[in-house]
Amino acid sequence: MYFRLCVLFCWFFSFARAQTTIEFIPTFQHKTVTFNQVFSDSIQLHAFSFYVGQIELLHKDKVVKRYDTYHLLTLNDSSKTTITLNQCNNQAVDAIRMLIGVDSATVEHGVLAGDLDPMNGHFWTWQSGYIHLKMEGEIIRNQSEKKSFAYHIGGATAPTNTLQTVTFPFVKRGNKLVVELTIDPLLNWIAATNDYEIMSPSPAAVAFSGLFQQLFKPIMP
Amino acid sequence: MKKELLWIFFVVVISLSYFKIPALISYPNYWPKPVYNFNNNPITADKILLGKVLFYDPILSQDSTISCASCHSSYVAFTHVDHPTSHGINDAIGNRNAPALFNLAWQKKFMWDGAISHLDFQVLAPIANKTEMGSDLKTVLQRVNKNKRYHELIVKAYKTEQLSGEQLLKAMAQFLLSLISADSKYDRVRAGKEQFTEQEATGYALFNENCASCHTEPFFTNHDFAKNDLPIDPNLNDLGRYEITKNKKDSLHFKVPSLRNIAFTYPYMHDGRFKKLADVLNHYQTGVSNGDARLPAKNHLTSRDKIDIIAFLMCLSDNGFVQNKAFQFPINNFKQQNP
Repeated sequence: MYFRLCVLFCWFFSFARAQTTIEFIPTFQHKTVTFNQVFSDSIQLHAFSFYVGQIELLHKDKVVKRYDTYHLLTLNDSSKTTITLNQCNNQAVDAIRMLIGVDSATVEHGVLAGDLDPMNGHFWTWQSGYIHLKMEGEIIRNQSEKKSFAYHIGGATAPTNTLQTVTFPFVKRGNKLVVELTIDPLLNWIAATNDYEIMSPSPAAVAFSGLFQQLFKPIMP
Repeated sequence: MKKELLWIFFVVVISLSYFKIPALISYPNYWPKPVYNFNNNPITADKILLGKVLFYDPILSQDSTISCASCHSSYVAFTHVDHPTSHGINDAIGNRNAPALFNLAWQKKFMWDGAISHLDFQVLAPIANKTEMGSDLKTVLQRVNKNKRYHELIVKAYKTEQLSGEQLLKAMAQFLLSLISADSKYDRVRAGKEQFTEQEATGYALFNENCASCHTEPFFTNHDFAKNDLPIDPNLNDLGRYEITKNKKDSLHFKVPSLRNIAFTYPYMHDGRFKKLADVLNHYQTGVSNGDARLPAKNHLTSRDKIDIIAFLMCLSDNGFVQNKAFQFPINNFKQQNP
């Protein structure tokens, strides 16, 4: 009788929930970016925020857990740089996949609360749709000339669909997965295109969103 | 027999519980079901009232001078009569004719270009537009949550002290959803309560022949977008639906408006260029290229035909709707001054 109870107890706790925290740290040339401070002699970042949703935990390319919630990460606000996932203890996971942005089906549902509340300033007012990713800052050119940049990347349907799915290894330190969000490709894009502003769904926004794949790199434990 | 009746009773009860159309939203049985999903925003009288007070409150605008009702007056089916394009804060002039507001639960796209894809989000556009209210949702919420006028309304509607953005937008959507216009002479004829005169009946037949492919019954719109060959206004340079889709085939396409209450809602067209219905009908006779097969054939309506069509269009006026006190300025809620 006691043996059976012990087996049941162990079985129950093997499914007990644990929490995994995912922290996103913005970097440039492998150094952590401090907002509103000049780095690399010429760049200041004022804001960087983005939506993450449809998170899937994978094992050998198969989905073992899916989360339907959306999270708004605001890296210039230290209280909004992490998301927490509830997970079963005994699940083997080797990769994580997530959507960067908010899909059109969520918009068609109507207004939503929490991170998806339009009050967060990540929803366009002139047309219905979430801004998937925002990056705002300044570049100092020719030693003194300041040039502002602002990218509000959105669009969830063709031909201006800027939604991107990223996948990277699920490598934790204890219960934490630390992801380096390297903004190098985005700043290189500015230098290459001289395009300092994207504020609506457009071919330029689609091209910019193609860089999202290169941004997320987990820090190995 | 008893058993059969019992079965019918169960089927009716199950059907009604499935569709969950709220009692506060009623419409004729010859209308289709609304496209708005009321399960995501259950209608209550308290939420409609909160939405109505917000609709009439100028604190939604940057300088507290312009409310939604400034450009959407209940007396003219919630449009801005006698203004080709509406004006906002600081006397700024917009670039489009304010659309009439009614029967919105049956619409999927809003604005002349369909930029807004869900009614819940509609009010964000005028709140933020610099030529309308020039504000933002965060500022509006701060003002509303501080204002004594709203305390009791918010508690009653949402059992909370502080309104969220989601709640504010849903309450305003509820007031808009409550604006149902379904008691015109046309509706009473459909219900068998009245009859058209001979002239109205002739106009109805001509209307069905020439106009109904876009202005389809019972809403007198197909809720689609169409190009009606109006020459572009070089000052406005408004390309309509193309501004949103960036698809060339949508250039100069605008939303087909409902013709219900058309007698109240002049001037006409997306830029309000026509003051009279006769001007509109003349355009559809002389100004169209017949590139779209749905447009009426050029130069075939006689003057008499046009008068008969207009006689029928007068049957789409819903006087009960424009005089409904439930939709008018909630004066009792504005008697108490702000802190």
